[in-house]
Amino acid sequence: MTHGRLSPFLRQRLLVLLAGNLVLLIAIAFTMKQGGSFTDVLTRCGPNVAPVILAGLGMTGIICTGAIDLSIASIIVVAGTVFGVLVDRQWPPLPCFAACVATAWSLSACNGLLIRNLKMPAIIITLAGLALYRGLALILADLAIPNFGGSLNIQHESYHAPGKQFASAILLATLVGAFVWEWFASTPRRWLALGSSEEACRLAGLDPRSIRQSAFVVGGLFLGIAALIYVTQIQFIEPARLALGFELQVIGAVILGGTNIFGGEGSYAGTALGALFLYFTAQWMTYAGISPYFQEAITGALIIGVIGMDCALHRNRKRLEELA
Amino acid sequence: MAQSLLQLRAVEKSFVGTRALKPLNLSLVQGEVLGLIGENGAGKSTLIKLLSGVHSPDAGTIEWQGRSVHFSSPHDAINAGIATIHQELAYCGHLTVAENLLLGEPWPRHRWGGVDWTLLHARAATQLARCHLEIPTTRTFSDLTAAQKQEVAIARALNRDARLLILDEPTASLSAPEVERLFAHLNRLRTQGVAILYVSHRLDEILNLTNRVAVLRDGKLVASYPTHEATVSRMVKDMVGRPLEQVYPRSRSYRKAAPLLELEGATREGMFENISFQLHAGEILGLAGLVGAGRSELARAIYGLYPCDTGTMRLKGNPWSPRSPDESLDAGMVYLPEERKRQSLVLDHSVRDAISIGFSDLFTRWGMIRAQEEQSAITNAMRTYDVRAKTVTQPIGTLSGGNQQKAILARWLERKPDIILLDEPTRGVDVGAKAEIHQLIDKLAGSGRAVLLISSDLPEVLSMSDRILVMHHGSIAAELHGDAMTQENVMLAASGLHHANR
Amino acid sequence: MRRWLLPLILLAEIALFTILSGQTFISASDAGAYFQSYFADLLCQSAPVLLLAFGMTIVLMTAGIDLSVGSLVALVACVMSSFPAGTEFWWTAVPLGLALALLLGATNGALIAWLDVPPIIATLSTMILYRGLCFVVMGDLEKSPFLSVPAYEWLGQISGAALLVLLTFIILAFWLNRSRWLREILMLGGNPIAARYAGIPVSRRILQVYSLVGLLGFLAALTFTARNSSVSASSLTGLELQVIVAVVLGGTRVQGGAGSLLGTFYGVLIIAVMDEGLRGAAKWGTEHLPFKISHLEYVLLGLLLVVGVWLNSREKTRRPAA
Repeated sequence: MTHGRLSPFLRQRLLVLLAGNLVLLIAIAFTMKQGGSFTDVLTRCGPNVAPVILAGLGMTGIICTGAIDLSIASIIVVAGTVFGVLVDRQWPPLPCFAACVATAWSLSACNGLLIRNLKMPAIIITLAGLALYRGLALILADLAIPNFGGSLNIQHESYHAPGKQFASAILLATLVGAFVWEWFASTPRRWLALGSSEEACRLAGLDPRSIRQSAFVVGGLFLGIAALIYVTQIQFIEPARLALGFELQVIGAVILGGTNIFGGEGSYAGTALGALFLYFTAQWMTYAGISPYFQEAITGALIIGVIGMDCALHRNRKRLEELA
Repeated sequence: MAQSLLQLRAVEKSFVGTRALKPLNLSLVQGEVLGLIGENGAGKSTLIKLLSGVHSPDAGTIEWQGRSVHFSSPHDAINAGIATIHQELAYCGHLTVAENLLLGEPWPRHRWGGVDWTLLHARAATQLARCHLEIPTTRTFSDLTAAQKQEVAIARALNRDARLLILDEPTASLSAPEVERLFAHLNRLRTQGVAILYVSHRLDEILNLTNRVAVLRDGKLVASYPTHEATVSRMVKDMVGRPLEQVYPRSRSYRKAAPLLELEGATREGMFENISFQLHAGEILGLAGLVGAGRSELARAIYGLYPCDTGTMRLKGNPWSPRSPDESLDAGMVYLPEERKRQSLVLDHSVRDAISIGFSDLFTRWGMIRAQEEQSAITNAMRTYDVRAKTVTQPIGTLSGGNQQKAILARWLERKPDIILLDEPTRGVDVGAKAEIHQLIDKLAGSGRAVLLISSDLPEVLSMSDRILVMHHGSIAAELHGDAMTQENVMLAASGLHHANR
Repeated sequence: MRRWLLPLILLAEIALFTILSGQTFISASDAGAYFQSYFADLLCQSAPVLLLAFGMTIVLMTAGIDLSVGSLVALVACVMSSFPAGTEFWWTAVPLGLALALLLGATNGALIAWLDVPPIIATLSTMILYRGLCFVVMGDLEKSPFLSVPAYEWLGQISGAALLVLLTFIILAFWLNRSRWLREILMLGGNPIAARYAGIPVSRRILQVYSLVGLLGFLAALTFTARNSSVSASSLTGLELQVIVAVVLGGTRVQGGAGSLLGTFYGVLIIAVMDEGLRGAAKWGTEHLPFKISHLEYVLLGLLLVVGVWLNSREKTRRPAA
């Protein structure tokens, strides 16, 4: 019983993505060269997609309210820098992890607060955040570490636990938690209501600004976990170069998952499937021996294909509704 | 004497450019049904928005149950016990019926904290059943028909257990049985002591339902009397505030001329079917009918916003199947859409740009607008159509509704079109501007233009038109001439009950 | 945007960074010569961004956005670099580059106008696609045929780049300001539904706007390759955000319906002066600051953006009559 909460459009998109992922998995299984093991593909999948999926969950909620967060990559950089600096100060692992998550969480909440209080479009605030946070990370590293050479080295294996050993487990646990929450909480539905019609929410006595902010707060939690996995996977944290373009990767997965870029429609499951679809496509291309130089182009063409067809199908109806 | 529930004392409200409400006093007692009437732009909607917490008054006090209150948001008004059905429905199209119905309320929860969806839908279903509605609560809201959406909105307000219920034109998209159902419900609420503020253009509804009538004109309360003393003509006189001849001028008599626009069996699936008529030079052809009868859809098809499925159209004797509106403009046809803000204007663009976008292509050479000619054309148009603005660079959104409408008319009429499609040309316009627009339409027809006048304002259609077509459910239900052009005949045909004269 | 605000910020910046860079002038003519070469450099340096920013301004006026500009310019440059240097470069690579740029721009336009894909999604996908095609064309190579082409380097010098930029600016700012075309663009950006009712050919205009971005992208590719001489598949990554920040800083709003090319001009220069100035002030920075002064750029950029747009929105807050 979905109580009508999944629109026909979303249901259709989920099925398409589910089928697409299965097809890709089968294709991978068949095209794998001798020696590669299929279980390897699956176990490696978790750590690789976890950051995109987790950040995507947060972004889904934010986009559902009709806002957007372009600054997530820079937030991850700040979180990573804080983490790296603390490791450099030889803090034990757990407080470092906690600080990383908390940094990302509070910056995302700060985005929400700024949007709420300055009454400016989310795209502008987070575009500013995109530049500002990365700068803060660089300055922070400069201030905290004498003669900072551009990268923070995380050597000890215990600091890599969340990103390497536990990534899949963390991903699964968070996903299950997110699904349960999406299913039984009223807040995600309020986000969708806000994305559908801010006016209707206001007239019904809800406060649109608090609802939007809650999307940033919840999104920040997901982003914190994503940042933790992201920065604990790598050995060198370079604030100037870390996670460049990550926000677009995430937005791509979210949109492919059927979330309406203008808000009002979307689901966590779609985002997860969308991110997996992009990942498996890349994997399949690697196994199929497609030149790595072609892979990005094919991914781009694929996204255009899926979304373009979808938009074209709804085009006439949308036009008529607009005119009336 | 019933207890006074609501008391407005010298309440005022202005928006940039207009004084929407001048100091106004109004009171309501328990169990009373007050009919609020007035022309478009008289301030009814503003008054309602003050009472429902959307806007705050600039001056004056609102007393609610004997205490002075200040509503800073709709939330406050709802909590105080005032439920409102606004004229323009606002709803969350992607959500289900149940969620829309219970949007502002806390949702039922399981013992362990999760939302109890089964109970939520059950509760929504009960609410709908109380209003005798049978709509599946799991349907996506945007899939409902216009009437169903309206009924859900009504059900939502009725179920709020409010002390005061405000209804702004609730019957605009409802058919007769649905209206009856609504009235039965309202009468039941009245006996329970709920006060109702009922706003409608349909005077027969006011006479049927209310105890007292209050008339607004130009932001002032001009009259208030018990309904048993009211008659249609008295109410119209109070609303209009001047002799009818001035508002509905008629200087010309129509003589048969060549047809400029001919339709033969024009059909578009789901919008209108088998429409045939001729529109002649120098004629004002009224197109009446209920909202949703397909009048605007027909006009949009003629204008070229979308094609007809079958049937033929002829313009000035030539076959006419426009692919886009720019072809219509080139052929000498203009269309004034019904919703000013949504379909005609960019509110923060200047008056100059808003006017000249309609005709500046006539003054361009290699894509460049010849500034002087354009400027003189704008000045000329503003004078001709009496657009009152402080400067031409002022944003068009700061003008009053009437001046905005005249600016849009100036935009199109400066092209000197032969065929003019007008869709609700006087909606949301004050009486003075209304009279001016009517005079203008009359003059246009007098100078040999063909005018198709779509209007839900019955006196307007009746007095302006040479001939009236009445649409019902997408087809023409009646064509009325001369003495047959009466309020009763139009209403009967619009409700699908009229078969004479065909 | 208040008219004086942006020039003021620009002047203040130039003054500040001139002082910080430790430049001293012995005479007025010395200062004149310094600033002449300073501005010439500035204009050449920021020519690609300026050209793209003009296009982006018009795109934002239509309530659209073009995230693909960086990839578009890179792809055009990559394809052009695959041609052999020599005089024939002028009638093989250059016309082909122009045609390709127009095609790529029109592809964006077609996705948005005909398939009704929201601009941000359409150009996000083509951003990935065009960048991917760069790798298809170039692989890992870095090619630099440009400076071997006769007369090509002229495009990167003050006489070439600045001329191109100023000419483009004059044509766009003055010609467009008096054209009906721009008015139609503004109306369809402010209210697309009203634009359709007003008989404006919305799809055609959107196609034209994105094609224009393609054309400007071609010019940007010329100035970029002439100055940097070499190009690789990952050139110009992140350019789109730089361009958008400059345009928004210039007072064009993302919701469409309004915008200013002059503001964009200032916006780009403010960022370029800051970029250049922080580099020039490196010596001062290491003496006085506990962190690298160039790292301030991001922070200042973010703050400028928020403050600029906030001032802008505060001024324009009005309520339409009900």
